[in-house]
Amino acid sequence: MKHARNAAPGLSGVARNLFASLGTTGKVVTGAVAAVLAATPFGAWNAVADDAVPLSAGTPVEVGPYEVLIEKVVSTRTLGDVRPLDPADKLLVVVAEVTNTSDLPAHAYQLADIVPAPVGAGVVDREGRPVADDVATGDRPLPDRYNIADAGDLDVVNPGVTYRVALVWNQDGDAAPATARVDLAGLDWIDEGFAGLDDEYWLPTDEITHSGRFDVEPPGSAGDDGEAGGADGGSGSTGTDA
Amino acid sequence: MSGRRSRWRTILFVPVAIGAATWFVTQVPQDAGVDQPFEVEGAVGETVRLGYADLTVTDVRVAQRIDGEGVAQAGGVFVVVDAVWEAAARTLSIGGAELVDAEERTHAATDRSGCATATSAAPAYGQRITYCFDVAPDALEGAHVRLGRGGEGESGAFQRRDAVAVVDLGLDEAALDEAGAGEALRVEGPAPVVDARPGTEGDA
Repeated sequence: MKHARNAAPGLSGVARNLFASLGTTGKVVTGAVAAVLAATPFGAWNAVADDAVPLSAGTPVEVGPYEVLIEKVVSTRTLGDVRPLDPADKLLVVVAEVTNTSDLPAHAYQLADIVPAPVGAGVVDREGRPVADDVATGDRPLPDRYNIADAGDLDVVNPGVTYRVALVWNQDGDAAPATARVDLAGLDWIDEGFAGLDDEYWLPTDEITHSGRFDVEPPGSAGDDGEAGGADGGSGSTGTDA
Repeated sequence: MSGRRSRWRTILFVPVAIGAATWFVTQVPQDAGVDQPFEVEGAVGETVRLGYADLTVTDVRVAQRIDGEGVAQAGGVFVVVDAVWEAAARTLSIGGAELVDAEERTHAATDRSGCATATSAAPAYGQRITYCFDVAPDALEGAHVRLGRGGEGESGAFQRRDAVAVVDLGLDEAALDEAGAGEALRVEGPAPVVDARPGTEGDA
């Protein structure tokens, strides 16, 4: 019985023998494959910004149900009635035009999924902590959203309708970036969810599909004077004071 | 041996049976009556009887700006639909409201500026509600609203085998002239009215 047990080396024994039988090149390749497999749970296959389609000001791109056109990035002390949570901080504003190009109404809150916080612009979270540049897309702080035409909130974007929106983050008061990287993250249409529990919705992928560097208009610049705030008329907002 | 073979047969039978049943259900076309809502058509000013409630669309207006709780500016144009609900037997929630244009594009109501997307209705008196839809100008012609107690959900999941009012709004491109750039159109939140029926005293 003893020799019978020795005759079966087991799975690990087979793997060890197989690995030992490989040549140097085979061992290197096998090791590399094993390393990638081991790193898979930690994001080895995630898309990186380098794979993204270049994004530039004034160029419309399709993301989920939206056509998104990033107009500009502005740093400002205030935006109409909107002020940073910490008075020493500033607001970083991405001004964009969004159009729903689908046949169904789209939730405006998903604009926050599509446009993650710009990178390299000194964005801070709601507790005032700086957001590192390498923070994953889905972990960056969400912006407040405003319809520039009336300075109000948006709940739904119906087919064929275009809004000029301001996406607003808190920015470190001492930050004065000349440029910032603006990313767009994709949405996947889920026609039929797992087990049919949740169907027909846009799921954030948190994968960057478009990316580009934009000039950041500093406080007090010409473009900042009411343009970013875009609070022409509406509920009492008057543009920026910078 | 035969006992073991019998056990394997039993184990295999379950996934095979599930697979066959799944294939059968997906292949056989379902009768639309199984899961479609019962549509009751009406027009502006008519009372539509849905069984669980009566609905009257009392007015349809078009505006670039509306003013309820602050002024809201349309991205396209606001279609403002005033309606009165009166429940048949018991208080119920009214949650379904969408506008469908001639190209079958669907549009959701907005809750901006005091407009409502849902309300409740009770027997014996009407509940007035103003729905606002911010739509592209080319959606006006031939547009109708679908109003019911169940929300649209996924593929109308909450309206299956339930009555839904389909009311033609009678809009065309000329309605855009009315929208204009004048004063913002005043809208108010849901409120009870004395009597929902058109032509009666206290009509909404």
